Amino acid sequence: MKKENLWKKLEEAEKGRLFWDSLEAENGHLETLYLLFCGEDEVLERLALVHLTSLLKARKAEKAVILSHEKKEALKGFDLGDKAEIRLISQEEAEQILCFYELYQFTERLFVLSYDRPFGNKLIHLREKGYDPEQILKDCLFRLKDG
Amino acid sequence: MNAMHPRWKAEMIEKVQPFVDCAFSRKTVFLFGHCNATEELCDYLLENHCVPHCFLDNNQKKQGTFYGDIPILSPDVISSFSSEDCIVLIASRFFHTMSEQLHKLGYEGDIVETVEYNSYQAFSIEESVFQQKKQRVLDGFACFETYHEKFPQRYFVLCPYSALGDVYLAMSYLEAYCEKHHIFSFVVFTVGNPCGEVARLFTKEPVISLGQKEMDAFVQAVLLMGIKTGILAHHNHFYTDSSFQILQSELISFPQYYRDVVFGLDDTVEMAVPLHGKEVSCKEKIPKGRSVILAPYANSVVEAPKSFWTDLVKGYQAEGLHVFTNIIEGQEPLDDTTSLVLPISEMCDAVCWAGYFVSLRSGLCDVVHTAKARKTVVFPHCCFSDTKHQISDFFKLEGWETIIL
Repeated sequence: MKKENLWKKLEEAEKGRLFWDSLEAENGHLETLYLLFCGEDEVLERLALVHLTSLLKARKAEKAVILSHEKKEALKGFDLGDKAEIRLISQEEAEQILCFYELYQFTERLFVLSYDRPFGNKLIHLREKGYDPEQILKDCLFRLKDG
Repeated sequence: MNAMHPRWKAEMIEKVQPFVDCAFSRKTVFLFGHCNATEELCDYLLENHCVPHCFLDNNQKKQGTFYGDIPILSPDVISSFSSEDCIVLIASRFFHTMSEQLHKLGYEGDIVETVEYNSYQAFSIEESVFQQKKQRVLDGFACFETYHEKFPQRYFVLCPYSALGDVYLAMSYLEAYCEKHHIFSFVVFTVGNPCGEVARLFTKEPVISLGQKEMDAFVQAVLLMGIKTGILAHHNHFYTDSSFQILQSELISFPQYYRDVVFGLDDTVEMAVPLHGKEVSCKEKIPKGRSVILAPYANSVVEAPKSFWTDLVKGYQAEGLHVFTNIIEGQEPLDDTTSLVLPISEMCDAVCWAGYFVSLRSGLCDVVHTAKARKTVVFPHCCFSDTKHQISDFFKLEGWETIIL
């Protein structure tokens, strides 16, 4: 592991910080949740949409912004209404946000739809043990205590 | 409100002590955020003859009320004071946000973060916070490089918190994990020497004990760099891993959680037995098979009532047993018992030798789990963390007698 890589990561994190700042400026600071779709699991992303209303209610948030680097199959057929919107971002921007998040937890309003990102995420082990994706989403990613 | 954890309280007092010693240089003291921590801080200041001017709190329902004689007011009041004559003390996870709020109100005076609850977290994207976290990662990476040079081919096992039970379980499954991933040598990093001692019960591989801040920086560097030649061996606490929340709907025991989630091992894997414990060195003090070692202290669960232990001591003495209290520095033995200060490496043998062991559920129970003795564990009757499961179910110990208070 070379120090040059560290500097590169820190540069990415800085870009992530600035990008996050622009997202907050667009969407307001305290009332918006951000769901980062990593594009690794369609099922997980579709379930996120199914339970989005519960998430907004549980977090007392007004709206959600879905950050995605591609037009998702998962989004088809969902009427997101005025509670959610899709913001297409580049893959680089998604990585920059993740890098920034791996530098420190700068917000409680970011939800990364992945079993193994950000680094250190062990949800993949729960999945391998046969836990249902919906249970993982509700309990772990969204922390919806009442189901 | 929940009582403040003694570790955080001690950290808070240590941070504030220099200001108390100089009577805050006669500045007006504000406590921002009315919570259990600031109440405890307020009590401490009053005991030391420093009277805070007020609590500042954004909650309008609290504004205009009092804690004792100290009013709770809107943060706006600070605008009417000269910044240089004031000091604001904050004991909150939202330190950075609260500091920003004060700055927006025009306050430019001293602000003290009296306790850092979670160094991985800072709900702010301010440049200054970013630079602070960047420096931390640079420090953590320097730590990584130092040990990588020293142990170039070894896998890094990071036990990131000072928790004996967690280190015990991490080590219990490490061998199987290494076998599964073809890891032939490793180095274990712990926080503090007692945890290092626990790791050494299982291995002759190098064990390095770091300070908590050094470890936090190391872990943050591992997270940012995505270092795959190492593992963060802990059951909870990392913001990048929400697996632990599965306990909201599933009961997974403490050992099972380590096996299944932390290490991702098969159901068939058994816990390893520690092979490097030492013989107890003060056998002459402990009558063999006729002694009971009591361990009434724990960080992870609330204390049992003093009367419980008093009755227990009397009961054992009536049976003719010698009663010891296992303590570490700073702890007091129970009344009418003999204090016993033992290194971790000798604990298991000491319990075997004594014959009886009764403990509030703590990591020490894991350490002596394999001791052949009559062992009893004491649990408070309450739920574990914010789950619906009883502590006694999550931390259940097979083969132990159980008391739930």
